[in-house]
Amino acid sequence: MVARIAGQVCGQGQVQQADGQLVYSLNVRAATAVEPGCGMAGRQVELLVADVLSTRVAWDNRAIQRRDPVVGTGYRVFLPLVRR
Amino acid sequence: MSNVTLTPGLTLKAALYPVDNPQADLLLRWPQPVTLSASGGAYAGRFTLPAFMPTGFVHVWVEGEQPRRETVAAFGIEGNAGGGARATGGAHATGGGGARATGGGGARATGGGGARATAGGGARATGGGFIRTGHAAVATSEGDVLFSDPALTFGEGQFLLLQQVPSPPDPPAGTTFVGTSYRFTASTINPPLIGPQASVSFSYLGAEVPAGEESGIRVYYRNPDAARPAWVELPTRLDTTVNVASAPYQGPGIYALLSSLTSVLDPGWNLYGYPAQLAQPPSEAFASIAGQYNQVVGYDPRDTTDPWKVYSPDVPGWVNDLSCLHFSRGYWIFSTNPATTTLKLRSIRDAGEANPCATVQARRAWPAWQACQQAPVRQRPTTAWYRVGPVSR
Repeated sequence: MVARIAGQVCGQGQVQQADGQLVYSLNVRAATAVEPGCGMAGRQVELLVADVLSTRVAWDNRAIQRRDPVVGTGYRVFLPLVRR
Repeated sequence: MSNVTLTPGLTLKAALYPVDNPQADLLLRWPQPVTLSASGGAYAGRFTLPAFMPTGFVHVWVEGEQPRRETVAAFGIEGNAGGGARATGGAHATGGGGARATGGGGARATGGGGARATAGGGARATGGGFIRTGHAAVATSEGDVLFSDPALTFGEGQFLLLQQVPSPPDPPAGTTFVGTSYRFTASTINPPLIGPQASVSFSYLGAEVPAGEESGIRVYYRNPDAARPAWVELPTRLDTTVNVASAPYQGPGIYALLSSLTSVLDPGWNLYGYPAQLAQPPSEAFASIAGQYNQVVGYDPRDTTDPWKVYSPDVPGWVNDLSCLHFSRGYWIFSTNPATTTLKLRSIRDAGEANPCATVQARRAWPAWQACQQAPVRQRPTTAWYRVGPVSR
C-alpha cells in the first residue's frame, strides 16, 4: 500500500492478516521542510494497491480514518480462452 | 466495610473494642462477639453496650477459615448522643486556639461548651470528646480526619459518626488512595442541622503520597445511597506545608483523599510530556479521559521506516502500534472535548497488579547517547488509514 500526494510518496504500509482478513494500515506523513508536498489539511491523498489507484481521500489528522479500497478498479483480468 | 465480595454461606462474626480502658464494672458487662446476619447484600449485627462509647474498633472476621479473613475498622462518634462517662482520655482544649489537649479529665460533662480548634495542624493527637454546643467538630481518634461546622449545635440525641472504610470502592481512573477513607453518618432520628460552612479536613503523611503527586491531592466524596454511586472530586484547599486538604462537607457518605499526576489538555492537539516513571499502556494512562480523546501519537526514532506510533481507542487492535508510554517522552494527544480536560495519571501500581509495560520498559532502556533523540516531536502526527476486508480478489 502506498499513499501519494501530488505524485509524491508520503506513506506506505504492508498488507497483513488479522482475524482471518487481509488488512493494512499506514501513516501519511505531514508536510515538513524535507517533504513539503506531503500531508496538509485538505490535500488529496491517493491510496494505491500494487501501484493501482484504489481511492482518494482528503488529508485530515484529526482522527484515524478507515478507507476501504475500491477493489478491482484498474485491474485487468485475464480469463482463459476455452475452445472446443 | 464496603466493596468486599463474599461467597454465600459464610459465617461472619464481629467484636467491639474500646479505644480507652473501660472501668471494671463496664468490662464485666462488655458485649460478646456477635454473629452477623446477611440481608440485602450486607452483613449486619448489633452490640448492646453497657455505656456510651464514643470511639472504638470493630473487628470482623470469617469464622472457621484458615488463614482467617478479617479486618478492623475504627469509628468515632461526636455530638450529643447521650450522657456518659469515659474513664480516661480526651478532654479538649476550649475557647479556640490551635492546640488540642490530650489526656486530662475523666468524667465528661454534658451540655458544656468545648469548642475545638479546627485549624488543621500536622500533628496527630489522641482522644476525642463528644459533647459540643457550638463550633462543632468531629475528629477520628488518630486525628487524621476532622469535620468542622462553626454553626452546628448538637441537641440531645444528635451525633455524627466517623468510621474507617478498610476496603473502599475502587478509586476513579488515574488516582490513588492516600491514607484511609472514612464514612460519615449522622443520627437518623433527629439528625443535626449541618450548615453550609461545614468542612472535612484530612491530614496526611508525606510518606503516604506517591512521589510527585502531592500537588494533585484532592478530597473525593461518594454517596452510597445515590442511584449510581460514583466518586466526586470536591473543590479542595490543599496546604502542602502542613499536609492538610479540606473540602466542603457534602452530607453522609464516604470521604477519601486521592492523589494523581494531573495535566490540563486543550481541545485538539496537545503535546504531552509523560511525567510518570511508571511505563503504562496508553489505554490505562488515559483512562481518566476515556471518551474525550481519539488518538495518541508517539515517535520512535529507532524505527526509521515507521517512526510514528499510534494508539486510538476507536480502532481495531491491529491498527495500534503504540504499546507503552515512557517517562519523559513526548506524545501528541488529540482531545475531542470542546472544553479543557483534566488528565489524571497514576504513578504507581497496586501491589500485585500486573503491568504489561514492565518488561517492555526494561527492554527499552536506551543508551545515554540516544537520549537527545527522545526530545518531543516538533511536527504534528500524520494520519493512518486502515481497512478491514480483502485487498484483492
